[in-house]
Amino acid sequence: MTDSGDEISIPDETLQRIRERVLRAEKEKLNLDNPRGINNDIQQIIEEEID
Amino acid sequence: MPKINIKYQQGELYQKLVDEYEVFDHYYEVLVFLAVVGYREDRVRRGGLTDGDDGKTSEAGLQNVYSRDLFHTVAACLAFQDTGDPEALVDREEHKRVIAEYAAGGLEFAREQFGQNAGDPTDAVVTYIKSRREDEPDGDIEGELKRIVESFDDEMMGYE
Amino acid sequence: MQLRRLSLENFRQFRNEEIEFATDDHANVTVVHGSNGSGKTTLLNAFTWLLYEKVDFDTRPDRLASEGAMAEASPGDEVTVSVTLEFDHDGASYRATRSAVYEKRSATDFDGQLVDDPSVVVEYDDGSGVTRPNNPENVLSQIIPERLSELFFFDGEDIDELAGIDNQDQIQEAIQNIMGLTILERATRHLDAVAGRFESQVQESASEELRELIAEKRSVEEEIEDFERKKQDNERAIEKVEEEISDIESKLATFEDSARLQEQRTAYQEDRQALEEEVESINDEIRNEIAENGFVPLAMPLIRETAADIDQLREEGVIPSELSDEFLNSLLEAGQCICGRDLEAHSDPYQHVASLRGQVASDGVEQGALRIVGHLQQFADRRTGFFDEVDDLIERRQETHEQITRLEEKIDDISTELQELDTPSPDGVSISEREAQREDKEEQKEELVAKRGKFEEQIETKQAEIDRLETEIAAQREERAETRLAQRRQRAAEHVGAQLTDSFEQLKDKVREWSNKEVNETFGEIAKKELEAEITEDFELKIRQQVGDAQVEVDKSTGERQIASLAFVGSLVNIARRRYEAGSDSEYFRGGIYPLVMDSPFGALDKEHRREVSRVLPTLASQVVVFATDSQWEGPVADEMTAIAGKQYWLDFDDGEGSGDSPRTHIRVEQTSAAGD
Repeated sequence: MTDSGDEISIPDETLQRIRERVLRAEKEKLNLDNPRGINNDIQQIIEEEID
Repeated sequence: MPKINIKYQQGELYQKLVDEYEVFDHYYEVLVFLAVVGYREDRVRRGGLTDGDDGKTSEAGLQNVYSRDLFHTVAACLAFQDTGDPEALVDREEHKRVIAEYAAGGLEFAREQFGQNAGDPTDAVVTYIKSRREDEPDGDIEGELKRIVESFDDEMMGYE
Repeated sequence: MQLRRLSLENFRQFRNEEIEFATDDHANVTVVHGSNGSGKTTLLNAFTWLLYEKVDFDTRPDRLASEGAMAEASPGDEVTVSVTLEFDHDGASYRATRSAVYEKRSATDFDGQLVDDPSVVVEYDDGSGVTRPNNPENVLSQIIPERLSELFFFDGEDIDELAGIDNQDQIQEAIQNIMGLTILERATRHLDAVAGRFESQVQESASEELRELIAEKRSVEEEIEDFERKKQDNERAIEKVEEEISDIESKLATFEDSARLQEQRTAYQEDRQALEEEVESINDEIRNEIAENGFVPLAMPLIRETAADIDQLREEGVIPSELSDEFLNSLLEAGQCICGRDLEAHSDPYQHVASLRGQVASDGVEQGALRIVGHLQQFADRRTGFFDEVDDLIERRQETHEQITRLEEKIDDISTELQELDTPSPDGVSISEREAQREDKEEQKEELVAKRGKFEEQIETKQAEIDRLETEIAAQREERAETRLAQRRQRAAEHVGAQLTDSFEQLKDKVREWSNKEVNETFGEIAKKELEAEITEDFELKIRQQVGDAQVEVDKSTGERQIASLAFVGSLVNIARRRYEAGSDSEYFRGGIYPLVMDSPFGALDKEHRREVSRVLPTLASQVVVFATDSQWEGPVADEMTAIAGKQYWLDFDDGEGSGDSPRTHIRVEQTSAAGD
């Protein structure tokens, strides 16, 4: 589900989803010393969730 | 009384005891002390002068000796014991002689006793005197003296 | 992860060796000891090479091939180097092998040339047959991530740094790592960065007003950063000045101690002087006594005998018994009786004596005799008096001497104390100069503290500005959809970041508490002193001792630091194990069972501490592997370890000189007294 409203505020479920996805992404890259591209991954997650 | 002097041998010990360490105040005190020592230790030097080079010949006034009652008594006793003659009790010449002679003898002894070491002879003198204490039991002296005193007193006074 | 067997093939000095690890609950320690250079570090490297293809700094990866194998090979031959680890994990049994192939290039080539990159193969069997995953590296790093490897495979002599000063970061990191809090920590950081990206996007498409606000906000943020840096510098400067003050104060204390002692000594010396004068004065009294009465005791026999003789003579009539007038007169004048008693004029005895005059024949002898008799009592009295007096004086003098001796002892003690005081170097700085120095420093410190206050104020002010700007920014109703979108995304990133930060802080503290409890339990098993270890809120590892009513921080000795650090690592391992056994399946770390493999944990310790470390080791993890040098392996260590070792090995190093061979190490099994094979 993407959010396409003009509202400034963001619904809680969206935030939760973002949080879960970010954590999963971090977990996957946890065992690398340098998690390359993680920032891009996170950016992408947020862009997907907030459209 | 005309001045009568006792000629005696003044050994180094005299200086030590009087001048250096001030155990005695006057030479004549040492003189009498040594005379007593001489009698006590049975050391006497006839002629009154030691041989050898010890000290110089000096003179002490007999009057000084008489000025102390007990010194006078000592002199009389010495003279009496030395001669066996009661007249000696009051014979000045005899007193002079015995003092000088016994002091000379006592000097030799004293030198051995407390003249040898350098330093203050005070303690050595004390030790020596104390060592002669054991020779006499206290009580006896008291008793005997007392008896004599008492008997003299009463008898002399004509009570007997 | 529970270790079963490590096998080495041509790995440096290990041609073909293996170690089976102790797995019994009650004998969970595997011990390997050998002389220096026999290969303990190589064994540690074998683990890390297998798991992560990493070896320590001193070991060159291109020289892993055993020299002996190379020597035996012919040019052109290939020598395989491999390390295999068999272990259990998560209900499956694993077998991991990393191998590398070296080619001997020439007759004199004993290193070999690496043919391909070392590769690793992993097989596991969870009961349903053997599986060979095609991402073996990943599998291994999931089981025991590299970032944790330093906690579990470590050089014991480095471990004491954990409990050193200034190592809060390391402690925090260790806790984060093992707890998977790393995820949170990273996520918050990354979200922050991503939020920044979105903000830049906002800025690009924003109205001029908004752009300016954002630009202003950014510039204020930079100012804050600048102040933070200055504040840090200032903090360091304050610390430095405080150290200097403390240093001066201890110098002053020494100074004051010194002055006080000297005063005391002078007082004693004065007292001694007075006592010595006292002794001299007593000596004078003794001399006086000698001069006055010294002759009396010596003369007693003379006087007594003479008195007795006279008595005899009188009885014989040689001495007349009467008194002479003259004598009597002289007595009366002297106011004395012949016995020496005083006569008072007009008293009866006086009268009596007076009445005797005229009755006695005058003769000087009896005067002499009477004199003697008359003084007998005096002699007796003065004799007794002499001894009493002299004895008394001598006693007094003795006591005074003893007092002097005691004083001299005290004086000597003080002199010794003064010598031992760390007297300030002869730079001639007086107390008042030091005081001046100290005041100077205090002033400096005050200035610095004031500055710090200013920085804090400024940071607060700037922060308030930022808050204000953010409110304004948030209030901007942007026209362009792009901008609004970017704003929302930025906000999302910031919100999620804030949530994670909260959780992170809470969890960190929770783990700190758990770790605290565990560390203390381990510490508590050290019965020697009542020591307590604490991981403070700032993640410092402190050791404290109960002193009276208070808890005083103890200056950690190397031994205690080592034990504290080991206890700390052990606590983490235990927490991880508990999580795992509790079946936690949160998205955070599930915990796990880890072994501890350590090289020389006894290094810098004294005998007693070695014994304690030995005792503590088995409790640190479910499986503990210890390497020790032979010199550490004696006495208390050997005793303690042999008792708990499930498996014991000796590294038998043969330097090959005798036989002309290459050096190699054999791993020899030794009997232990604990549960058998």
